[in-house]
Amino acid sequence: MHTELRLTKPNSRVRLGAFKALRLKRAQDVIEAIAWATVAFVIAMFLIAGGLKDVTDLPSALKAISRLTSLIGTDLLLIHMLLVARVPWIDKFYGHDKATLAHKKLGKPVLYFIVAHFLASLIALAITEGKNILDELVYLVTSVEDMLTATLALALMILVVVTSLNFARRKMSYEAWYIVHVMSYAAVLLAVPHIFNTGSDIAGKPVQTIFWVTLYLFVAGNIVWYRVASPIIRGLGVGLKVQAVVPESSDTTSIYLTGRKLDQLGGQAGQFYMLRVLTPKQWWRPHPFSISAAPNNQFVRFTVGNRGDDTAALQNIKPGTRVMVEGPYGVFTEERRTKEKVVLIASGIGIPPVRALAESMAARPQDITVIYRVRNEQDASLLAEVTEICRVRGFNLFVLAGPRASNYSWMNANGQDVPDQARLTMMAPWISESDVYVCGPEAWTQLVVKSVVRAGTPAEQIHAEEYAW
Amino acid sequence: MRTSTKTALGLVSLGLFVGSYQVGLAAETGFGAAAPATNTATGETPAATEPSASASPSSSASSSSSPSSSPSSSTTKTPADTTPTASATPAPAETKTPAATQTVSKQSSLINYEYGVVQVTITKSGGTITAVNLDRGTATDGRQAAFPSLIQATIDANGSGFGNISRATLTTNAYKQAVNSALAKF
Repeated sequence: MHTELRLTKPNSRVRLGAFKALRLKRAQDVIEAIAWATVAFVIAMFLIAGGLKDVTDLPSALKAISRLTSLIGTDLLLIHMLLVARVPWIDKFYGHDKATLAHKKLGKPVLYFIVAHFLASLIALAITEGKNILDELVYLVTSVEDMLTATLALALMILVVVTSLNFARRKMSYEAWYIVHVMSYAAVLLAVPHIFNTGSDIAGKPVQTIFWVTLYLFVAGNIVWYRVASPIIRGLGVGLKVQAVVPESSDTTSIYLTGRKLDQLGGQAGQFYMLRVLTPKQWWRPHPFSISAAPNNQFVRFTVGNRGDDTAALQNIKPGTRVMVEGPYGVFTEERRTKEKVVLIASGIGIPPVRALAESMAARPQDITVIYRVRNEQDASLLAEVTEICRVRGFNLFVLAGPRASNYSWMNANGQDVPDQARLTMMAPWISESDVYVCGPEAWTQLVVKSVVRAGTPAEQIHAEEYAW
Repeated sequence: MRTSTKTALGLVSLGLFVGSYQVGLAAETGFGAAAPATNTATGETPAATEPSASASPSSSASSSSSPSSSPSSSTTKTPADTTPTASATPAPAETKTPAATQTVSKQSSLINYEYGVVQVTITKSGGTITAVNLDRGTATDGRQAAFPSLIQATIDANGSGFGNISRATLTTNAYKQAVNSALAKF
């Protein structure tokens, strides 16, 4: 199957035009407005309940701060969790990487709000009851209903955020990080009783209770279904098995998968799946891989680079091994295309989605330019296939091989002192009127995006995706 | 989010916050008043609030002349001394027990509300509440004054089915929550 390249028929039509981008922005605005509305609602209900009116002295001010920070913090916490639930309606409009990035950014503010709530209510109670803070804490934790679980939840939450900070995450193994993150769900659940039993703005207030119960159930439902149930049901339903393993270069391998019901996988060129190898050691560690061939009814193919971790083991995976995929995720697809002309730029192991896009995008000859940055042309993954696709479909292909021109360049050295954007414009004269798809390592991608912008391409026509997880 | 959307949303939110703040100022005792005042309360509110309004701190002291029930002055101390030491099983032996009806006391869970905390111990003889002891009851801005009348109202209504004390709705709600949690243990 790999000796002779068989290509799927490319898309015959695609919707283009600025209106497509406008519709996307509108949809994003609606989602963000709804998210903000939940925050505004809880603040408004707090104000309607006279939350600020009662502020007369320090304890009452602290009490108001405690209420307000708990409301905002909890609301943001639920949004924060929804962002990593791999919900299709978020993925479709933002992409998995942007959602994960937003999740990371929201982590610390959520914690600050919750810690502020804890400290403010503790100090307020200590003042009104005339105790010192430690005594009050001991009293609350030991004697007041639901406070022990709530305090535990806070401690867990701090642990989760600290271990997510970049410096800590680099030092931790994936396993430890994973276990801590699974505990964060426990933290959220532990905090629930004290919210509904003693929360000043919830307990005994029907409107707020309905709002919060709905919000919790909505988020929990999305997580349980999209993060757990649906991947298992669909992933196992397809019944994927490794069919063949084909080395593509010295450090990349293509893994061909087949299954009973391949058509159920869905997916488009440019998207990725979370791949789980169903062996006792590996099943709980999913890895994101883009499909490296357009969806077809014969096989699903991932092309995997050897980065030394689990991906090293994947290079030698045995045919017949059962695997499971979750997805498809990502918006590195033709859905985002608004222009007739397209420039696809890839580096190293960023080539799989670009290879699949080149195969499947609707285009006439010359519409698409492919730029492939490799270290060594003889050892470039999928290069033969990309060359064949470009030959068959009449696309321009530029292979930039060799060492980089300078520390600030994403291109190879060609002996001339010409800025990247000038070389880019030479290769793709239509670049400012094109959709530009960029896939490669993070630092490299940033350099590419910079010179694409300098070449005159508007930001909304640049599509870059990182493997964020 | 586009700048225009952001601006529009910001203005709308600002209006919403100002509006709800105004409503909050106007609301005497807070929005929560709507909550527990259910069907029973509508019938009872005028009846229940009148005595409490007319006789908040003083008359509850006078009504404490009724034999076993009064919480305010003297009787308060005895159960209060016993409860911290043995909170789970508050001594039923201490209360005089006629052979016919059994007298049992139960302590509520501690309710943590806006202005402080409330915890009560309820003593029941037969099916009737005979005494309510305020184990912990803190509130700010003079709302503590509501507790004696609340206790009287509990005994009168034999439960938490009485109306709210105006200007102390949240305190009332927290107190009722405490009473209900104690009653649930019988």
